[in-house]
This record gives sequence, structure tokens and C-alpha cells, in this order.
Amino acid sequence: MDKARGSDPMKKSGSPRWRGFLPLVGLVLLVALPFAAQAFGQSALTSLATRMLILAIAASALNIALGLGGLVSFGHAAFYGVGAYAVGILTTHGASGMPFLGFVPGSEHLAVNLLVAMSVSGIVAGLIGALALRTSGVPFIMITLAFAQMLFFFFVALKAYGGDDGLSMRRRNALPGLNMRDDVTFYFTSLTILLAWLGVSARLFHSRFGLLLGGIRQSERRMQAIGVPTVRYRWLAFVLSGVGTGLAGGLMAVFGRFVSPDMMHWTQSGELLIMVVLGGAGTIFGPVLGAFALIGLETLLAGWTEHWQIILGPALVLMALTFRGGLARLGRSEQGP
Amino acid sequence: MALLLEQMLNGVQLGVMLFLLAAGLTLIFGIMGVINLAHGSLYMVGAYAAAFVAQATGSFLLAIPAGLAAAALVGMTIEFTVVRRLYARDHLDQVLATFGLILFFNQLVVLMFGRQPMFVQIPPAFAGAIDLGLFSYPVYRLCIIAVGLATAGALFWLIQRTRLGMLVRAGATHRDMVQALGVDVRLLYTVVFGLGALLAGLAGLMSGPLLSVQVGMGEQILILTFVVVVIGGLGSVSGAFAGALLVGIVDTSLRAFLPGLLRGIMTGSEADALAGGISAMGVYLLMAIVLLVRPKGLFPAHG
Amino acid sequence: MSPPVLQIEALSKRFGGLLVTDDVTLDVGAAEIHALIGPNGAGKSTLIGQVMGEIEPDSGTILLEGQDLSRLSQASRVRRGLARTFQVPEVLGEYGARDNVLAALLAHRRTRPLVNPRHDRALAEEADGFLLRAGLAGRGDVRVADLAHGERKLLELAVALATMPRVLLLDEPMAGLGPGESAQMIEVLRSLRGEVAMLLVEHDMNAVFALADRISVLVYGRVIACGSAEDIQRDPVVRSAYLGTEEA
Repeated sequence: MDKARGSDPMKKSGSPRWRGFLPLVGLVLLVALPFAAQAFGQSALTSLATRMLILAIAASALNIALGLGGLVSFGHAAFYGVGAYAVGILTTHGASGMPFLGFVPGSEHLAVNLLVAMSVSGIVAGLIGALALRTSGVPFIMITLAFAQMLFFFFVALKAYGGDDGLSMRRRNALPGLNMRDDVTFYFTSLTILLAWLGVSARLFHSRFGLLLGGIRQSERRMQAIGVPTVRYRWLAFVLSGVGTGLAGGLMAVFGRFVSPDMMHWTQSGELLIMVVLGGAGTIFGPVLGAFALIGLETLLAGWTEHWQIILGPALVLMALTFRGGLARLGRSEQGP
Repeated sequence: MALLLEQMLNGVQLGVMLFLLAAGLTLIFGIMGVINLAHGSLYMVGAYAAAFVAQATGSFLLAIPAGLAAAALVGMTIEFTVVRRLYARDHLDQVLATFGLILFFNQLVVLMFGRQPMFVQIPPAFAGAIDLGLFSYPVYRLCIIAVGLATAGALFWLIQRTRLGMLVRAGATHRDMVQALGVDVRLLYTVVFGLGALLAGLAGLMSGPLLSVQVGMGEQILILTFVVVVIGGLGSVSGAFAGALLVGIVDTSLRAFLPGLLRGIMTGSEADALAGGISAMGVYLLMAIVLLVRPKGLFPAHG
Repeated sequence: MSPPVLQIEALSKRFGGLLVTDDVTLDVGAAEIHALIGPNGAGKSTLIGQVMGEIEPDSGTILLEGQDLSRLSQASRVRRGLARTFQVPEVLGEYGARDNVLAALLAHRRTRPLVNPRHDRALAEEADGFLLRAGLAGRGDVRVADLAHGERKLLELAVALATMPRVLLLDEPMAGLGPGESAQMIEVLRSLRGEVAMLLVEHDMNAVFALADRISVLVYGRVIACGSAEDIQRDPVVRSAYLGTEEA
């Protein structure tokens, strides 16, 4: 398996003191953003930032598999899409009052639906992971990509829930006491979920599981020789990663009130990978930076030319060839990987 | 019976196309250790170059060398500029860089030819069908099968019997030894990459008259090629051949026969919908089964 | 002699047409250092791999304290008391030396979930104890990528000890060490004598003669001789098959 360039998050790096305050500065900016956007009459900015927050959850979730576990999954869009469809289907049944498959009641409750999205994505990740982890390296990449494509075709063929055209929801899922139709409220809901996820993620990175998983990334043979069942650990990392990606997918479905197979298009998997690497694989905040940077860059380029991918493509090539460690590691005085 | 045979031929035709892509992909991985996502882009380049020349000149005969040359040239160019720098990198860098290449080539094609698909006429000499006794079969598809099988034969001969093939086989495991023999390994790699591109371009230009030539065609077949390579065993050309035929035949048969079978047990529209879903997923499920039984593929490259 | 803690019985393994382990039977006593010598390609590393459960043998049994390990996973074998080192050190390069040992300590230990084990003072002291035993006192915070080759070999030893093994399988611990480093390694291994049994695969005959209670000679997958250092040096078969080439 690849030794991805993630590194031990606890490593003492000769960082200047101010670095410790950066996450706090970031948080203040994020809290101020919707108010600033309103003040300047740019409320579309709040929507854009909400998308960034949600994709940051997905990137951070992928980071558990990729940055910590060294698993290059090119199929995480599948879990993103499955989470979204779980919410979409439940919401549709919740709105119509007809139970799903005749016995599962629908729901328009945000918390319930997100929990279901996480569970379903986790189960799908468990199945795909169990198969894909029978191999490693390049076949693993190909297999995750192929299974994601299989699910893509499955939802294209699923005419009962919109097939190719996707599935629209009449209104956003609700949380008691909050007006989810308000974009600013939804922004802060997404921000809260992101922070909660980052908290879980940080605990995981610094737990026994995280330490051993990071060890498996560096030397699988060594970890086997000290008695760690490495495949089981990798599988668990893959499942947790799928759960978080499903959460992001579900949230995105609620936000846009829309789900379509495009959410599990293979390019979406690629974009999630870019976010993690661009921001810094194996770091806690890197994937968040990466999500903001990539979506921001795409939005800027798209505003400039419709053919923005002709710039993004070569930029990506350059990033892969030259840029090591990610944004989150800039300014640290440690040795390169 | 006639229908079954006809569908088998369709399956073989899809299979040889997949083989042309899978062979290049697996050779490039086996020798250079690179995963090249942009392999599908080379297929697209071959298809567009051929379609463009065919439309401009009206001659499919001229389109063939155009497609081959374009794919090989583009292939060697990206090897020289990008892929060469990826040999020593981990797979994640390779994935990201070649993903970037896909975005670039897809957008370039949009800029040059627009988003509308291009259609290519079946060359008049190969139009029509030939009577095979039980049924008649399109000449063009038979030609694809013939070209594909001939290419496969030539490829096996090249690998087993020639000096280039020996270098290719040795280069995979004994890079230093090959270098000690005075062989320019970098040149060897460029040539192998160009060969893979040539095969992808051949598949692309032949696909033109059957499918629409459009942006994204490369990735669709690339992912199917991955399934082929995983089933056959990564790095093994004979595995790629077996995997390609298997995937081609299974995919074609499911699409052809599953709706009929399911209509026996449920209503027509439900049966069609379910059959559509299952047959779209069929080859992936086949891959899942192979992974359960033989995780290294049916014909693993080593051991 | 103490009763054997590790017994390898009639072990055979074939790779394609090559018989790499040919009906090997040998044992390691409870407090013994049993050296396994033989020319390159004799199948010494493959033997260790089979004992650990990395490689599945075609036939034969492996007993640890009388218990059959043959059907157990590598993880269960480690839990029952097997540990190994590698010829080329397999260490976690991005971690510090202490965290390498910590990983071994944590492998079979439950901790409170989602609590950072790196902040556990008692664990850190335990880990430092193993670093000390291996002669790496004070090196716990050094990134392994920055350790010298000899230090990595010692770290492997510390990591192996941290799994609390009954038997240590050492795959050429002296490989690549300079004279001073070799002497240190011999000293560390000698200090472990009696505490843990060792199967010592080694080319460095000075180390073998300095440490081994018994020596077995493996040639082309077969054990051709087994005995004390004197027996082995005198054995005519060994001299012609192995030592002879070195002394000529």
C-alpha cells in the first residue's frame, strides 16, 4: 500500500507560536462571513460558503482513509451520493406520507435523516471496503472507482427516484426551533456539524486507533509483526471515512433540496482527493483548507471562463508534481516528507 | 440459437475493444509501475482525430492513420512531459496528475469540437452485413473483431519473441540489468507508453462509426477497462485478454437477455427497469465475485 | 537442557519448483539462544516468516509451549509470545522512536477510547524502559527517519520486546552494522539471555559464537547439522557445505 505523505499529527514541528491561533482566526472569520456577506449585499456568498463547509466535511472524512490510513480511494463519491440519496428518499416519503418499501416511514427531520445517511453510507462502505481491501495499491484504486461507478449506474437506473434526472425535495429537512429555510441558519447548522466532525476526527487521530492506523500506513509488515490485524483496522478506517462522507452527502442534499447521480460521478471522487492533498493529507484542518481553496478556485475560474478546466487540469498536474505536504503544512519548519 | 451466437459476437467485439485499452494500461503499469487515468483520453484523441479527418476528407482510409498517429503522438508527449516524472512517485501523485490531464484533454476537445457528439459513417466498403448461415452480421463489426484479434496476436508475438519484448519483460523486474545492457530505459519507457497509446487510439478510431464520438467517452470505457484489468490480473496481458472477452460477453449478454428473462416473472415495464439496473451493474458484480474468489485476478502476473 | 519453548516439526514449503524449506525440525529451549546459520538463499528468512505466520507452510507444525500455532493468525501468534525483527529494519519512519514502541505496547492493550495514548505518562515510561533495554536511552523523541541504521536495528529489538515475547526470532540483527554497533548489539542480546528465548539467524560468525548455545546449519532448506559451536566447527559435512568455503 502506498505510504501517503500524511504524517504524525502529534509530531513536534518547529512551528511559530502564532500558528496555534490560526484555527481560531479561521473560526472567527467563518462566523463573521454571513453577516459580512449580508452587509455587502452578497448573500450568494453565504450559499457558496455553505457548500464549502459541507464539502470540507467530506474531505475531512476522506482524510481518515487517505491521510491517516494511506488508502487511496477513488470511490468516495459513492458514499457521498448514497448519503444524499438516503436523505432524498426518506424526505420524499416523509413528504408524501407513504412508507419506503411499504414499511419504513419517511422523515423530514434533519437529525434523523442525517443519522440514516451516515448508517447507510457506512454499510455500503463496509461492503465495498471488504472487497477492495482484499487487494492494495493500484488495484485498490481501480476497484473503489469501479464500485462507485456501479452505484452511479444503479441510481441512473432507479427510475422510481428520478433516475438520470435526480430527485427534488419540496422543502429542506427541519430541526425543531430552527428555520432551516433561512440560508444563514443553514450555514451555521453546517458549520456546527463541521466543527463536531472535526472534533471527532481529531480525537480519532490522536487515539490508540489513530496511532496504530498511522503505523499501518508507514509499514504494514511492522504492524503485523507486533500483532495488529491490519486489514481489520484499514477496513474500520474505510467505514468511518464512508460514514463521514455520507454525512456530508446527506447535508448537501438537504441544502440543495436535490439529489442526482451526478453527486457520485467519478470526478467528484477526484475532487475530494484533490481537496485532501491540496490542503494537507494527514492533518486535521488541511482538508478544510483544501475544500475552501479548491471550490474557491473553481468558482473564480468559472467566473472568468467557461472552459476553466483547461486551467485547473494543468494546475493539478503541477500540484501533483511539485507541491508536497499541502497548505496546512506551509510555514512549518519541519523537513519535507 | 442464432440470437445467442449473434450476441456472443457482439460480446467478443466489445471484448476486443476493451482488450486494446486494457493491454496498454496493464503493460504501462507492469513495466513502469504507473497508473494512468488519462489512458481513456488517448482513446478519445484517437476517436476525434479519426472522426475529424473522416469528416473533412470523406475517407475512412485516411482517418485510420490520423487516429493512430494522433493518439501515439499525444501519448508520447504526455509521457515525455508529465508521466516520466511520475515513475518514482506514489500512486496518489500519479492519480492526481493524470486526473488533471483528463480535465485538460476533455476541455480541450470541447474548445476544439464543441459539446455536440460527432458521428462517423461506417466506411462504404464495410457497410452492409454478411450472411453467416444462421444469421447475418454487420461486416464492420466483424472487421473490428478481426483487427482486434490480429492485434492481440501481434502483441503476444511482440512480447514473447522479439528483442523489444524481452526488454519489456526484463525491464519490469530488472531495471538495472536492462540499463547495464546499454539500453536507454527512458527511451524504452517512451516507446512502451507510445505503444499503449497507439492501441488506445486504434480502439478509439474503430469505435467512431459504432458509438457517438463525444467528450467523456474515454472515462466511461476506462472504468470498464479497470474492471477488465482487475478481473484478469493487473500486469498480465493474457489476463487482460481473458478479462476483456469475459467482460464483453457478460455485459452484452446481460443487456440482451435479462429483460426477456425477467419478463417471465414480472410485468414488462418493471422487468425492463430492473433488467436495466442489473445489467448496468453486471460486470461490476462479476468483479466482486472474482475478488472474493481470486483477489489477484484470474491470471495474476507473478506466481 | 530446559524443555523447548518453540518446536518446529517437519516443516516444508515449496515456491513453484523450489523447495525452500525441506522437512525442517528444530527447537528452541526456554532460555536458549539457538543460532541458525547457512549460506544466502538457504531459506532462513522464509523459515522465520512461516513461524510468524506471514507465510503459510505446505506441511509441518509449529508448537509454542506445546500449543499448536499452525492455524493461528499472525496477531494471535504474537499474543501467545512470538516476536520478530527484520533484516532490513521495518520501522515507522514518521514516528519518533518512543511512538514505535508505544505502537507495540498498544497493539494488544485496550485503552480508554478516544483518549490520546501519547499523553499517558505511565505508558511513555514503560516505552522508555524498552528503549533503555535496547540501548536507546534518551532517543525516544527522535524521528525514526533521522535515526542511524544501527539505532533502527536496536529500535526493532525494543519494539519486539515490547510485545512481551517468549521467543524472539531475530533475522540477521548484525546485518549492516559497523564493528562498534555489532559489539553493542551483541551486548544487548546477551543481556536478554535467560529472559527470552531466541532463534538467531545470522551470518556474522563472531556474533554467533559469542551468543549461541546451539547452532543449526540450514543449506538448501535442509537442516544438515545441529549442535554446540564446537560440534559445528568440527562437523565435516558443515565444513564442506558451508564453513569450508569461508575458511578456504
